[in-house]
Amino acid sequence: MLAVLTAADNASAAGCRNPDEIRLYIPRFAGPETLARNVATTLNLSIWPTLRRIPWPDNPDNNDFGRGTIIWDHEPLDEQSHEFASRAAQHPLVNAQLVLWGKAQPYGEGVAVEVNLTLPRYQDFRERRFEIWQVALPQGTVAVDLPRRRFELASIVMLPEALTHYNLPSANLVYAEPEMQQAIGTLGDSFVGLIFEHGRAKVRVGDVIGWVQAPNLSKVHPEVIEMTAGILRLFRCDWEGAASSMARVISNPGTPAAVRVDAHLYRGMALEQLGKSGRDEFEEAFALNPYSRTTIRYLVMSDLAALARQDLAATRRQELRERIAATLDQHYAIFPPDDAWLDQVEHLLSSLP
Amino acid sequence: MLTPFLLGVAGALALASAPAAHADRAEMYLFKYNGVRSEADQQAFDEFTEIVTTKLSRLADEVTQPDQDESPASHLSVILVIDPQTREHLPFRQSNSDLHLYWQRQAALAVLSGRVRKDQGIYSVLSRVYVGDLRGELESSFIEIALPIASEQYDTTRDSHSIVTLYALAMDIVERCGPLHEAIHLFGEAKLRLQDVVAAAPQMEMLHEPIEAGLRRAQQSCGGQ
Repeated sequence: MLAVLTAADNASAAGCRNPDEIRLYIPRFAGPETLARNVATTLNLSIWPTLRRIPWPDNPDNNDFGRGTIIWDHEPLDEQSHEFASRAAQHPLVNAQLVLWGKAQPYGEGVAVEVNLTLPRYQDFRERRFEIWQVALPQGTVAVDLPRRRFELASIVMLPEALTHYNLPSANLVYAEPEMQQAIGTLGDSFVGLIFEHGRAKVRVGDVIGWVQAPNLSKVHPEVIEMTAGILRLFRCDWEGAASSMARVISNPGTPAAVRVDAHLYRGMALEQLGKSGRDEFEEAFALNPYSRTTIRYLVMSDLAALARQDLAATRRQELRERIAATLDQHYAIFPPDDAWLDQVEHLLSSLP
Repeated sequence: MLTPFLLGVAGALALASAPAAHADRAEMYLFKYNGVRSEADQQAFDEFTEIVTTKLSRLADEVTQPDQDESPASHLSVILVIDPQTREHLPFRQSNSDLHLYWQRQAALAVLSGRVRKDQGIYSVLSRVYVGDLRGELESSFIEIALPIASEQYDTTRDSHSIVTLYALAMDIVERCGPLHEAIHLFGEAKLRLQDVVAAAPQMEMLHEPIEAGLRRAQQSCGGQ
């Protein structure tokens, strides 16, 4: 529960420097070994290109999003659960902020790949936690946590031709050249991505440098890649990148409603960090689920962020205060009686001039 | 978590004369569905059972909000009803009134039974989810979910059973005057997920009004408190 944090500095809209390495841990998916390994490898290849360190080609604000790393494991989780994913992330050799895990599940005539995302909260020795949205006012600082830390994304339905391909040990062949004429090896258990372009990647496998292809997992581009990439970007204060990724999650008709709510909240938060209003996004989330206190919190945070801006007219300040009070009053029933965040916001409102 | 449940007498349900007192209801009892005869039938049913029980075992993680350590779904479990001697997964072959007595005696959240069918080589499953006195504004205590066993229906199959479970959990809170903010949250989650499944499973639309009625009820004070 993050009602109060000791650090009160917001990410500047004029640029952001992330001092920490952010890690995504992808264990081998459970299920038939070759299929599950190849699916996880393809997800890895698809997410990795989104880990830009600096905006390109222009970086007028001198942003530095720090290191983003994908840690790959050739073994699946000991148990297919968020609890075990969380534990695995906290292993000293992993120290990950996100875990993408799942299972290739035979169902009917095909295979459905269930995909889960776990965002464990623990002392990972980072200097900054950009994923926690804080608003600092002279009277105090308020913060909200991520919308959810454990959720399931839409399953990936394996096309018959993809199924055949992904069952082959040679699914991720490494070729000598981009035209992929001469195979020189396979991806194996570890590799380093160098360049990603036009659905193929240049990688280094041990001492060998070559090219691999990342075939489509499904007819519909899975939101799993954009959602994971977007959240990774949030952790790294790549607000523009996060906002773009979440926009694609939102526009994907295959995105489950619960994930769409979160995507609106993430996009809104990213826009706020860029000095823009995320209010429209929060209202979209509210329209989808008006019974979530997380959504109400983000709506209120948007108004608190507006209050924190220095150049507001007194009448506008009053409007915002009244809107916050009205929002809380209308949705009181969805908060527990002893909600610390609610108490803090109400106390802060009462102390505003 | 799957936990084998031991019945009192082989082949029959041991029914007590009075229902057990309970706190919140958190157990869902899963009988073997009818129509499972061959190995292929069994495999289809096993695949269905696997995804439903796995999804329900994770439901708590998905609906527990970041500021909570646990939610009303945290103790949810799916229990296969098996014969204690043969360890065989048992079908339900008794009357609806017996089913209600069973639901009461076990203090169940819901009881799942149904049928597996094969038509022109395609398997489908009909789940009959019995929620007893937690029906609220539903026309019946039975909620029927009929879907093909096909990879394209994977999410709909999981989500439809999740929605029914969330509804029953929320109704249980309302019926026993529990923390109403939790009931509102669970009804809200059920309503949110309903948007995803009605296209593929139109019969789930039957839950729309009962969820709305549950939300209205949960936003009123309970028992004058």
